[in-house]
Amino acid sequence: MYRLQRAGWLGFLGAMAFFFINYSAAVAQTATIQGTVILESSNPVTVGGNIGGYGLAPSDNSASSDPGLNDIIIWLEDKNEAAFYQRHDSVTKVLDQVDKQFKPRLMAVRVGNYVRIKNSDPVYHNVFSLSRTKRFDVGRRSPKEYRDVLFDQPGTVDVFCDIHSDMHAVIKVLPKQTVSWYKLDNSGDFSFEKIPNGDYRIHFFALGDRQKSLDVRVVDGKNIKLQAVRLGS
Amino acid sequence: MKMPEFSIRWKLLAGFVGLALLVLLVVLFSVSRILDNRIRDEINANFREAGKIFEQLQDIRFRQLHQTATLVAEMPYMKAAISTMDENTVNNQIRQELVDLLHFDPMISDSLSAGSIAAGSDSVGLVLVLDQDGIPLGQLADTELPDSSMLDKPGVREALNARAPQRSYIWKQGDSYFNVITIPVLLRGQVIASLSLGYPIRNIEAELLARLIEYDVSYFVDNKLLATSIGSLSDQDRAVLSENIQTTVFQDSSSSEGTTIELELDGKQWLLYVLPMVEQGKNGAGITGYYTVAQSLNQALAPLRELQQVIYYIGLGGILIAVILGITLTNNLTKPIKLLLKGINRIENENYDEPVEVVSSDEFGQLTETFNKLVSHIKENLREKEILLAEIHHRVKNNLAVISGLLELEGQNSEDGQSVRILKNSQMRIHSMATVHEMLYQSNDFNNLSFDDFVAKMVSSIQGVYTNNGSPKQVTLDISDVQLNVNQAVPCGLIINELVTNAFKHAYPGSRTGLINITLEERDNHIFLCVTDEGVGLPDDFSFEENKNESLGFTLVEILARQINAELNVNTEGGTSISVLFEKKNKKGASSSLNLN
Repeated sequence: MYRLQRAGWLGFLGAMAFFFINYSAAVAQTATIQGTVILESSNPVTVGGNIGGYGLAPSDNSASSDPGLNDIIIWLEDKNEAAFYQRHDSVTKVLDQVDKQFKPRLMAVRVGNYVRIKNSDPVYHNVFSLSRTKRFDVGRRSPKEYRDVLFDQPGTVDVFCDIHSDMHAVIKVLPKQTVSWYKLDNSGDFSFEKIPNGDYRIHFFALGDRQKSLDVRVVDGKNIKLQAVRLGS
Repeated sequence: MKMPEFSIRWKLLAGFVGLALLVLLVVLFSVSRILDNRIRDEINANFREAGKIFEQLQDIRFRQLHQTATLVAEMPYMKAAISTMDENTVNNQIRQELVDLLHFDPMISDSLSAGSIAAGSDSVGLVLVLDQDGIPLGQLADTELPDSSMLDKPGVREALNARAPQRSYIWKQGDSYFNVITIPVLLRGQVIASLSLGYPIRNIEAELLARLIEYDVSYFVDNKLLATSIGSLSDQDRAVLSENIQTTVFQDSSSSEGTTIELELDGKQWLLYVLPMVEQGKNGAGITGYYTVAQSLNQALAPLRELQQVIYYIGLGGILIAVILGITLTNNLTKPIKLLLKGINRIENENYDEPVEVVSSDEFGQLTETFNKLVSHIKENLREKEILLAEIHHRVKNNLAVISGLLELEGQNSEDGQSVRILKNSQMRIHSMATVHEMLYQSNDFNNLSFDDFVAKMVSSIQGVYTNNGSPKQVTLDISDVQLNVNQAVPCGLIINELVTNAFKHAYPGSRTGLINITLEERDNHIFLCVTDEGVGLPDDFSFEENKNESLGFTLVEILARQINAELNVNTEGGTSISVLFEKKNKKGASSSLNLN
């Protein structure tokens, strides 16, 4: 109950902020930031031969066909640390477990939001993370069970399953200064619209330790067309 | 005849038994040598077996390490910990995983369950997680992580290239050595880190192995003697051992087979088998490690050595007995024969007085006793014979004296001067023969008589006869001590008789006085007799051959001289000098005086 009440307050505050931003934007000029991101191969080390005596040959999911490997999260961060774009997601994001894999493998969530960790498999799962951003362990969950986990610190969370060692997902917790974010499922165009004047930083993140950030300044509401961003490890 | 106490048969038997013993000893010794070689071969074979055990152990170790490493690397929490890239998280997770995996190296699990993981402790295995660049992420020990890349450690690069380990390598971490494998940590087919797992190469393990295979085990790692189960090894012995292993390893670095060497440690002989601990790199990179299996030859050969010692003692005793027996037996056998031979030599030299000493109680002793008895018989017979001979000589002399007396009586009764002269001459001749026999029976020796005494006696008797009815003549005797056989003495005595008589009668006719010299001497086994006078002498062309018929005296001299193979010489200068030279002979027996030879 308490949590819901708190969420309500946060929602109210967020609405207030939204109103304020929109108001100032109406007054000030806004611009569009456009660009293209090109995801380079993560140059994965392909595994050959038999590894070990326990039949731990890698699964059929080779690196190239790994779902979510080509997902790119792009977010625009206000460089003003006092900026506060926090707001609740309208729908709680779900980290599902299907066919002994996380779905999606890469997801983003604004700080302060819950992620529903759900087991859609007919087998047990035990999702946990040791990441400093968020240490958690939902424990052993039977099929169809779910558990919501609050991510209250920005950063990267590596999520594993204690039962299935090859399951891995990354939750990117975006900071409160995040103005807006995208998720592309491969190389492609992106654009942030109605961005007021100010200093920003665009972040790009893909699995396989591929990330990049880029500073942009919006002056006099001029649109910005960025050069192609190459994302590689 | 009584049986000898210790017969030659038994002595010979003893000798042959000694010989057989010696042969047996040689055979035993050879057998012990063969056994020695056999034992060495056996040890070698056992070494190879031990080598196989080591290889299997190595294989099991490798698999065990591989399995454990794989288990650890596949633990989701381990991967999660690695994903944090946080040292403490990784370190804690390593411990957590190892506690869970109690079937990991029992030594490690022991020390883990005991709750103490001392940094760099000899009892703890090596666990090391490296990131994709080879930078350490975490480890089992509490020591600070090295922050430099460990890509150069053997096996790391392969693991980071997602290659499964094919062999283990020896790593040196701190002061300890570990047998290490490195495997990749994979997440969804991608290498996120490498995990190195190693067990320490320790003394206690060498001792355990030594107990298992019942040989001494040493570890020779990084050109050092790291561990050995050979107790009480001095520094010097360690150095010797190291050096020997080093040499062997150096000579045989390419071989993956074991090599056996022999060396001396602590005053004992050892057989040492050296074989590689891990597969050696082709270019010899990395740290090398060797197992050595050692067996004390002294210990292995101890029963044989005891046997050999017994053989040596028996052999020594046998040889001693054989030598003593040999000396005593040969002495025992040859001494009586030698003594007997000496005795026979004495008999040959007519010495019958000394019996042969009886030194043994065997057949030789009996032979000697019999021989002595025979000798005493001979001696007795000889004495009887001598008495008989003396008697005969006495009788002969008496008879000759009677004949001489008869002739003298006949001479006194005869008126005819010629007859008187003949009778006198005959009487003189017979008398001189009687004198020889007299002297023979008076002397102890019937073969030799002192001819000088005889000559003196005879000359004085001739002198006595001729001085009575004629002018006095002086006789000088130049006679050395001469012993003559009776067979030469009688003719020689008669020759002297004739010559001296002749000198008395003819050298100084009338009342002339003069000197008659008789020389008798022995030169080089030859008797030289010379009768010299300074009288009227013989005619210059005198010869015995021509005057044979004129004078019986000369005829007699000539015959007698021929009997004894004498050489006659007449010198008429300044008187008469007749010399006789003959070889001295020791012809025994009573040969005829007329047929001496």
